Amino acid sequence: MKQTIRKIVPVHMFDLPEMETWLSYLAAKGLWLKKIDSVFAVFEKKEPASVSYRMEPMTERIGPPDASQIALYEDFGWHYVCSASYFHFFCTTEEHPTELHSDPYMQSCAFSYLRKKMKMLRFAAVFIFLCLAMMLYSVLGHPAPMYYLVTHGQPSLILLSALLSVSALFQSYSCRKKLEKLAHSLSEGNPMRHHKSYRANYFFPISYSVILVCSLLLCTHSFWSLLSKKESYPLAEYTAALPTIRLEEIEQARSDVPLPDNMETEGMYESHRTDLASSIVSIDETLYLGHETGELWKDQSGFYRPSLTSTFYTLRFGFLANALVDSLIQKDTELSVYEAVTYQELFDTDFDRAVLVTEAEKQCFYAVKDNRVLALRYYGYGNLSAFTEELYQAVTAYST
Amino acid sequence: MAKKAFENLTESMFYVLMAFLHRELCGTEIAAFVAEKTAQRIQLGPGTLYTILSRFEAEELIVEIAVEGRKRTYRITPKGKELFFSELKRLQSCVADALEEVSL
Repeated sequence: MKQTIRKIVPVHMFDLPEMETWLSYLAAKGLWLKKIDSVFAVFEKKEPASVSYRMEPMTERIGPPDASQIALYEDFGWHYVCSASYFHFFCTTEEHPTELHSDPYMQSCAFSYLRKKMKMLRFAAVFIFLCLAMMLYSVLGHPAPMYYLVTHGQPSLILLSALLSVSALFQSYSCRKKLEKLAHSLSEGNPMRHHKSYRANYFFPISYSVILVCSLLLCTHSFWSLLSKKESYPLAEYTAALPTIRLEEIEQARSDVPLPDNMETEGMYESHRTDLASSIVSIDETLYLGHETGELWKDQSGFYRPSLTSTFYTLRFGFLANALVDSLIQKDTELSVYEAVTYQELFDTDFDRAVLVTEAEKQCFYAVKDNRVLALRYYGYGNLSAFTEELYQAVTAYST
Repeated sequence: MAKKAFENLTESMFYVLMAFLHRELCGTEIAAFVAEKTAQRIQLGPGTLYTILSRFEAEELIVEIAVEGRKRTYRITPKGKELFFSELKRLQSCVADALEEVSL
């Protein structure tokens, strides 16, 4: 059984003389190249020998060279080893082999396909960068960026685009720089050097690996997020505990008279998850109270019909909680230009932070406990601030 | 052996076209012809040869006429001959100018 050894490549693939020197050095130690990529090289253990390696740029397409090229090179003593990262690797054990290239200008022509590929990589990087800019604009252009990011945004996709665009831009820049320098020197008629001392540099292989692993994780995460469904039930069918109080409790507290039994109600329970929130539960309730009791809104605009929207966020990162509350306040009051809005920080609660915002018959209550955020939007004449203790109990008792 | 040595063709390209004038050849035969013709002054490497043949074929200066196993044999086209002779004429003119200047 042939013994193989895997090593991290300590030389940039586009530093051709250094790479050839490194491979020859290892062959002299008995490690013969078998296959290689930008991060790892696999060597076969054989007798130590003086082996010369040459890297030929791919000239027409990505993939191994055609049979006629391999045959022609073999006629001159050069054996095909493998292909990777736009290059074919050839080797010979002859002491004074015929060099692959006797005409530097023609050798520079062989790099033209590679130069085109690098140009395409640059275009790809710019395209990804534009996608990233659009995604960032959709977040930063929103009146409440943190709210948008938590409920609708996909930070993992933004991160993936940023990672890929920066990596593609950096790679195309560094490879192109090395390539242009080499091709320019060759087109000037200077033969390429094949022996050059190298300094092991693990920055590139490690950064490639990190980017690859992060990209894979982010892709998997985004795919998983797409697959996760939004759950939705009529509230009447949902029997488990809720992280909020019921609208009936608020309305009942307004009067000593019990609420009518046959009162028409509407209610929905929804839950989903996003990149930044492991769970977002939204409960909407409406009571057609005035239709039974005859009570009207104070402005006589119709029957009194209170409603309550509770949204409960379980954030993946607790430090986002206060920013989310600020953002929710911003969102809920952005259209309040005609009504007076009062903000009140409630300090006598067990929440880490509690805020009550009142605007005519609308009351909004925001509370933070660790990584959990509760936002209530209530339209009616009840007093939301009287229920902080019940809300705290509901939030702490609720488990997703 | 820089590009500037020839206006349109490099020295290697010129010799490869020359090799095809009276015969059909494969890669190794071209290299052998050029080495013999230049008394080993020019020894074409397989990389250079492959690049030249690919380029000539793409520009229809030569055409593949036979494939035996992995060996390909080519023939020069009228377009290839025309380019060779126009380059030859240019070189003759260069040499004539140089000789005239030297003999002053």
